[in-house]
Amino acid sequence: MYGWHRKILVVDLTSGTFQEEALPGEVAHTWLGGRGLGTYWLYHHLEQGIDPLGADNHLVFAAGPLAGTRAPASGRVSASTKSPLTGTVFDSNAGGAFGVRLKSCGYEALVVTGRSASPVYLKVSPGTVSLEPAEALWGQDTRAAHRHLAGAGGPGSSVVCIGPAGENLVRFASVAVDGRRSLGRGGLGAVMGAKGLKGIVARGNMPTAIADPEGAGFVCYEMEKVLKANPVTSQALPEFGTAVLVNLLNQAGAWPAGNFRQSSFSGAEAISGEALAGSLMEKRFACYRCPIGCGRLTRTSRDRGEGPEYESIWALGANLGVEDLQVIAEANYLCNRLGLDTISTGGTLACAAELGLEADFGRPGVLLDLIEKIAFRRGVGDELAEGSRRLAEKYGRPELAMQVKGLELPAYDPRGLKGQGLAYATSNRGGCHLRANMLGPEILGTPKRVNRFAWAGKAGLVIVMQHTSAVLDSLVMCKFTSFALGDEHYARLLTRVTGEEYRPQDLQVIGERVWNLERLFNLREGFARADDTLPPRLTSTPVSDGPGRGQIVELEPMLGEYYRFREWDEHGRPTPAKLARLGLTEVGSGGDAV
Amino acid sequence: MKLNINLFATLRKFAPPAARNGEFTLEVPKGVTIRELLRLCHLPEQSVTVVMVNGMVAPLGAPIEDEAQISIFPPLAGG
Amino acid sequence: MRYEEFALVGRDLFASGLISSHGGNLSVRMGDRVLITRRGAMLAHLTDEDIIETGLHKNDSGVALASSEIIVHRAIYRQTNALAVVHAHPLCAVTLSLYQDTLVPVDSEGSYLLHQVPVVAAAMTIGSEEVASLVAPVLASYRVVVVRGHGSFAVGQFLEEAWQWTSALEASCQILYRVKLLGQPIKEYRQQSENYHTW
Repeated sequence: MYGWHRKILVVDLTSGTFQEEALPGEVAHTWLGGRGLGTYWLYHHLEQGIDPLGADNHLVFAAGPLAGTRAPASGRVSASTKSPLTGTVFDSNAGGAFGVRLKSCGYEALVVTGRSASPVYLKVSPGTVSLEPAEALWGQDTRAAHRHLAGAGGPGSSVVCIGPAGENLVRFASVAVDGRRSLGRGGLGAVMGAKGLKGIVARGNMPTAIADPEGAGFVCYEMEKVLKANPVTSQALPEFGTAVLVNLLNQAGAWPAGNFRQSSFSGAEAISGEALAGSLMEKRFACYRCPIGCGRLTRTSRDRGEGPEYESIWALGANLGVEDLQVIAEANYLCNRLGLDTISTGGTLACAAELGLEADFGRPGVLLDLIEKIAFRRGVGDELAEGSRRLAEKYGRPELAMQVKGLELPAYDPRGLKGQGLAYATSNRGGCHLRANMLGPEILGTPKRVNRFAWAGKAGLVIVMQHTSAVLDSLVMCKFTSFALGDEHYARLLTRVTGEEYRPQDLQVIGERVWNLERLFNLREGFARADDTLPPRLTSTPVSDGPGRGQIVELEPMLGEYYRFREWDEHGRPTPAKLARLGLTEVGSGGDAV
Repeated sequence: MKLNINLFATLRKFAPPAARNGEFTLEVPKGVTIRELLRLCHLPEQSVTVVMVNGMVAPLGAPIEDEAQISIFPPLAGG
Repeated sequence: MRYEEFALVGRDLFASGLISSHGGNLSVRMGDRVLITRRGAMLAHLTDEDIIETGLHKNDSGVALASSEIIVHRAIYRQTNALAVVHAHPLCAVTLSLYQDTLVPVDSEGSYLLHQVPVVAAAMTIGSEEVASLVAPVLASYRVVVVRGHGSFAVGQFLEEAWQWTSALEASCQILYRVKLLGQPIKEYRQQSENYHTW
């Protein structure tokens, strides 16, 4: 068998037993791996209405068919579950090497079910799986836990683990990957915490079989050549990391501040990628087999660590009125150590500030103290740990939570990029920029600049990007490669690795199939058109100043166009004809909502 | 006329010595276009992808008004 | 004008000699609708009246006015994720298509962008079901294809993108054509170029 190992490891923490399930060839060919495989598994194994933090929820870690080959940026891991923050199907995707290490144990995916009576960690190697006691690790932060687990795994192992936030069921707790990267969004850390699973360590040596090694080598050579020639992947990202976007969005007046009350931030330069490169930066780092190397290792006078990335600088900086890069970096280190998603942490704190609960984040110690309170659910932290939507609802001001489907919004004001507003509203996992990012056409002009304040014609672009993202997340390759590479590269490589014929267009269909199955999952959970929405501030309060002055997001007409384009009915349900074309008829008719 | 110019990311190495964080003012002839301005700043056209005039992306041929705030970016992405 | 990108790409196509006075056609997809240039329109002089709207799947009154190649455009939109299609008659690409089943660039830009461009052959070349059934599946794999003795079809998310593939194709074919005329083997400067025909 080429490309895929045909095995899935299923671990039941309740009984402490393991079993290997066959991965049928047809399922692998149709869903690829990562997010596609995770969605497929969850749709078929989760009962409607289960508690995301209960024993019934599943957590699926999956690699992709290209892991273990020469493919650039292919060591990543995807993890899927029903999110305790959004209630939707939710996949998160992180760099590092966990995907390729899990795969080298002979498994395409690892499914965790049940709940352990006492804390455990999971150790996986080819032919040997064991649950180890983790009482001593419970309570440790991700750095300490990572060190311990990496030691237990030995050289060449890879580790995912949670911190106190996950243990304490913070709804936006993250999972640390290899001590540097995060499965950040959606509260996957809380799902692990609820299961009593502190971490997983994987180490193996099983190669990925390649159908046409010479052909695959040629395509990899072409990919590396293009990544090297492209100024974004060869210069901007290596030199400045993701934070290079700070000044761009701020100058465009599309950088939200103060819980989206403003659309630019006066302190942006001081917390920009340029400022980071000139002050806290120690050195770059790259994930497994990545020629780009956008990672930053940084240090302040008191601490050191990874990042902060663009989104974290915004969430813990501009959105909270903090213009001290040291404070932001240390807040970011602390979130990473405690296992908290930085975007949701910042979004929830900004909401709290507007509710009048907390405000003075710039004062020394205040921000760090609040982050600790969230992770340990102490005092006001207990309310904040529920996320902005539940917090704002509790205080009777739901409109002050800047979220979609419960997921806090990232660092682009959609009133200045209308297509991004549609992408937020329609994202199957809630308010996020990683399902489709309109930054390219709406600001950067790639592949072509479109009028960022117009709404017409945006649906088609958003949809193509949603499919491309779904494919990359299912191949489990870094989206940043797509700044230089196209569907042709991915399809040619996949064909040569697996021996199955994939045309670029076939990948788009796979992306569309994944998108529609996620939609079916969410419909079954009771989500409806009314959930494809934005906070009222973005659809009815015009931007007060700057280049976007007077702008709102005209969501309704965009949404209508989007549904028609997708061949969904006016309630946002895939039509039978669409499901038939995607080969989802049987799946769809099993769902209650369709 | 006088322009307030801001260079970002890799373009900052082209800024004059007096610039702070890539920011400087420049006296230019009235009605100068963005393309001409890039030449005056010794910025190679192919290393520039986004030029904003007062926050709005503008084409290279567009003339610039007095006192405008000009932001110039190289190819970049992220997120 | 409302359809500025149609006018821009049409003008450039004619100006660079990739179409004759009334040749070629352009379209974009808007959901379940298609906007396409009028039958017999002069692409160098497009006005709003030259852009015809019709259904992607179903005919309506618009279709009588649409370019006769509408059938090919529709097939492409139904079988790919393209949002724009450019059809042109590039001279060197069409010339070489009379001799070869695939066009493999030897210049550096063409090597990066295209690797190779397939040629398909039909007896009925213009607006035929046969062309539609041949071209659309190839465009599920490639950005641009040449119909032997007839012309190119290229796809993109925008007209400008499809135009870029068309233009890159002809630039590469201009060089290929000259290389063929000179008749001597080239000095290879690329690595792995022997694999391009497998792209």
